[in-house]
Amino acid sequence: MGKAKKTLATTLATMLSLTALIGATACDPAGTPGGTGAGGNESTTVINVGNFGGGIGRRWLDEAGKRFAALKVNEEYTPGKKGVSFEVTSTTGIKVTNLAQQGYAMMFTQGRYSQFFEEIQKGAVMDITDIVTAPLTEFGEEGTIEDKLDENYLFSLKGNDGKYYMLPHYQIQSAASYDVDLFVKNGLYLAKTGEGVEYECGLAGGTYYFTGKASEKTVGNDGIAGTDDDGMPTTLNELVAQCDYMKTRKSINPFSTPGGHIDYANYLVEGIWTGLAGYEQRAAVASHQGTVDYVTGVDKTKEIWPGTEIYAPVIEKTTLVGDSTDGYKAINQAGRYYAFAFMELCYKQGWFYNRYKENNYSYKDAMRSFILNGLQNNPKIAAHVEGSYWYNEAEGYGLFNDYKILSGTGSSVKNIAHWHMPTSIGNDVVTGPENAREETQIDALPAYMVINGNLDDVPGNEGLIRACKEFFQFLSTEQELKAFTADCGVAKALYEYDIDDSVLSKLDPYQQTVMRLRANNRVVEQVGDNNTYRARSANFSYGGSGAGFTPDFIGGVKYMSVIEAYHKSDAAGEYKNAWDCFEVTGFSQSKWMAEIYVPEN
Amino acid sequence: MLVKTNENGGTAKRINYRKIKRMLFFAMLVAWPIFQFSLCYVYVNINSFALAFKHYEIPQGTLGFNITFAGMDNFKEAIEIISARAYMFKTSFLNFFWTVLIGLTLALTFSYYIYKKYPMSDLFRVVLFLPKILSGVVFSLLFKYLSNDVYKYVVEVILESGPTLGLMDNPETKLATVLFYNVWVGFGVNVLMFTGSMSGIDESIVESAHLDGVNTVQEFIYITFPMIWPTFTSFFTIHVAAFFTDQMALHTMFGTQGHDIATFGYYLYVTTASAELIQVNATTPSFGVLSAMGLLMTAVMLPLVLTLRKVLKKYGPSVD
Repeated sequence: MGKAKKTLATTLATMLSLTALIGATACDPAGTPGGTGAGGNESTTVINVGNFGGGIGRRWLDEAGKRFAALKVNEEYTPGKKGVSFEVTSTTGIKVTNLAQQGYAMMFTQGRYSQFFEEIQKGAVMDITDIVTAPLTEFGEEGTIEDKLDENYLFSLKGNDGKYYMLPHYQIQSAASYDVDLFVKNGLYLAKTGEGVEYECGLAGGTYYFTGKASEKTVGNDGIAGTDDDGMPTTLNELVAQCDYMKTRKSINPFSTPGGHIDYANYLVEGIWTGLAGYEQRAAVASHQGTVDYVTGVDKTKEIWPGTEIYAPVIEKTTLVGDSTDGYKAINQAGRYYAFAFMELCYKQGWFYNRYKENNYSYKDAMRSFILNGLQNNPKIAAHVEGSYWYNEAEGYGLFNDYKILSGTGSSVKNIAHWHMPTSIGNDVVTGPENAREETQIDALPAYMVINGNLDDVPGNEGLIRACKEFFQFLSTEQELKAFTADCGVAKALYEYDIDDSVLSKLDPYQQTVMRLRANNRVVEQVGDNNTYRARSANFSYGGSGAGFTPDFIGGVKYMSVIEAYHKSDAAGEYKNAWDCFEVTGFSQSKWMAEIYVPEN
Repeated sequence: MLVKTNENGGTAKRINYRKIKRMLFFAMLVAWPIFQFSLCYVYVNINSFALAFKHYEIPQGTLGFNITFAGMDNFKEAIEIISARAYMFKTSFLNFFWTVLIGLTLALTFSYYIYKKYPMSDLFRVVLFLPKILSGVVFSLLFKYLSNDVYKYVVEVILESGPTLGLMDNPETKLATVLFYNVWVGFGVNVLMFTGSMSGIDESIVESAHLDGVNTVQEFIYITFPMIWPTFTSFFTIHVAAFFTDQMALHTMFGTQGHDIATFGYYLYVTTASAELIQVNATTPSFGVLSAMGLLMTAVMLPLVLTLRKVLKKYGPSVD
């Protein structure tokens, strides 16, 4: 072999070997992606953190890590190393199902509850019972983490062995976010009878009044004037009238949602359902307890809204027996049907900005269209439909900076608010504190923080494990919980802590409306303390692209939301209406007993 | 080379250190790739065999799973799903028809044109291969934006024909546009391989045929095509084998919103991505059922592909 040939062969062989070795970096079980970690060369113990890159928490994690590191600067977690440092990776590929493979020491991520639960069952998640039940004295507090958590949902953080494995992360609100300035300028708020502009709404069957003036607004669900929900609908018909008024009189699109992520339309379905159902009924979907209004069929002689061919449901009120045998009735509840029916009305009336039919209309496009509302040839859109996390993402993409430049306002803070949802299917409008109703919220996306269960398989990781656990304790202190909300603009799920004015003052107007809404109303977590839920939890997953909102027609097509089902099945000449979608996303008694129900012990 | 001697002074064994070094180097070179292949392909496939016969349940009061022998239950469920989604056969077949029967035929024709060095053949070679220069994801996204946004702009703004939907958004043109993309993007490799194979044909055979009065079409039928028959056979067989797994780039273009024109390949890909050990929901089966579905498809395709290969080899055209 000639010298040149030999050199070439060696070079090629080395390159091949290096290429092959690249794949090895993802397989380290000791929590050391990228080659750093407890065994790394740094002078500190390095904690590798995987953070779901959905817009929430990266900046907070960096800052919280620094605060913790400063507190532990002289702590020797690993022999010969003082203090801790953090390596945070933030991508949307951070999923709990990859916890064992990706090798992060800890993860802050979202997903289906069933995914977390399955990983716990597999042994991929570390038992943290010791730190959850221990007092936080080291961090200046007397109580335990357990004391701070909502006792009604403690079970959801445990494995089947009764031990704690997860701690809650962020809480996301469903529904829609509206442009306050657009509402004021165009007088889109509901006004008290006789005030503002009179509007005869054929769909909602009555006379409604609209205004932009604060003094003329209706009082909203809380029955109190001068609060965030003033002028927003308290009944489904008010919502219908409001959308009809916007579209017919003002040529404003009531809603916009990305065609490239049509499942985001489900956040509106979820918001309407939860608002109409109330806390007990909505929680019954997972708990299988309480009294529910469940739908047995539709009355084809009676339309909900005249001339729309959207039929009224036949409803039965029933008290669930509590052993999950009739849990299907909770899933087939009236609130869900009415939410589907409203979406069908939206489709038929064209209340969604029509680019929801375009796959290229991405979530970023949709956010931008809404934020730039009317500017730069953008259409006028009253509300953006997505989980409340969208605001953080829009900030991350610099969209509010675009608004600042293009609007000429000189401010990157846009006046946006949470769209309050109706709380009744009747015409019993809230007029004051005497008939006020709770506007129940739902946590749209289960999100948790977990420690990698593989860490203790590797000798020498004791210090790293201790550091991880102490970091979780640190994050659960009142001061850090407040810092989380102040930085991220969202609340920590299940933790009871005071989101006071010192925190609210650091948030944008939109985030403040969400925090106030959460503070004044109960939030349903989509978890149930029963065997059926634990064994089949994914079947009750209704957030985002959860199964409950993705009609999958046997012998037909699976759609990611009802609005997609309406428009695509219509285009295909096989129209599926609200009842078709409701039926296929619900359960019959026989299907429930055969496929879902698991007896209690 | 070192030669060892035994106690009696005789030659016992020759140790070829150079050979040992080379072997060691080779072993080190291939060890890791082989390990990765074994883990990520062999093990995964063996595991999917096993999964097809397993049933997972979450036990009460403890961690872990109750794993039981599922018998043929997963296969029964898989057959039910396949039967309920028969429309995907139609899409898979349409994809096969256009990308293989039409696509390969056109690729052969184009390759022959380029091989014969007809006008602008070099340009065509580059243009047809262009889609393959970019990454598949990038190119399919580019195509998506062209067929949606650019098309919409042309129709609405330039032609002023009123509001319209993009070709991939309009349910009436969506499937046809995706099929066109797949045929088009398939030309790159097909043409490159066919022209490569054609260029290996002995010039003297072609010249001799020309002296015998063979025209261009006859040359293709009686000389060129038979001479590249092994290449064609390989391509054809590979495409047939991919009948159930080809997802037509639907996931790149539509994410999880491509079910209305889904192939089995797309269904398997998207469903597996959201599946778990235990059935996620009524329409997202467990890994066990999906594994069974994969095995069923293999059971259909394996004998078909092997037989097809044998038949094509035996009854294919000959230059004789």
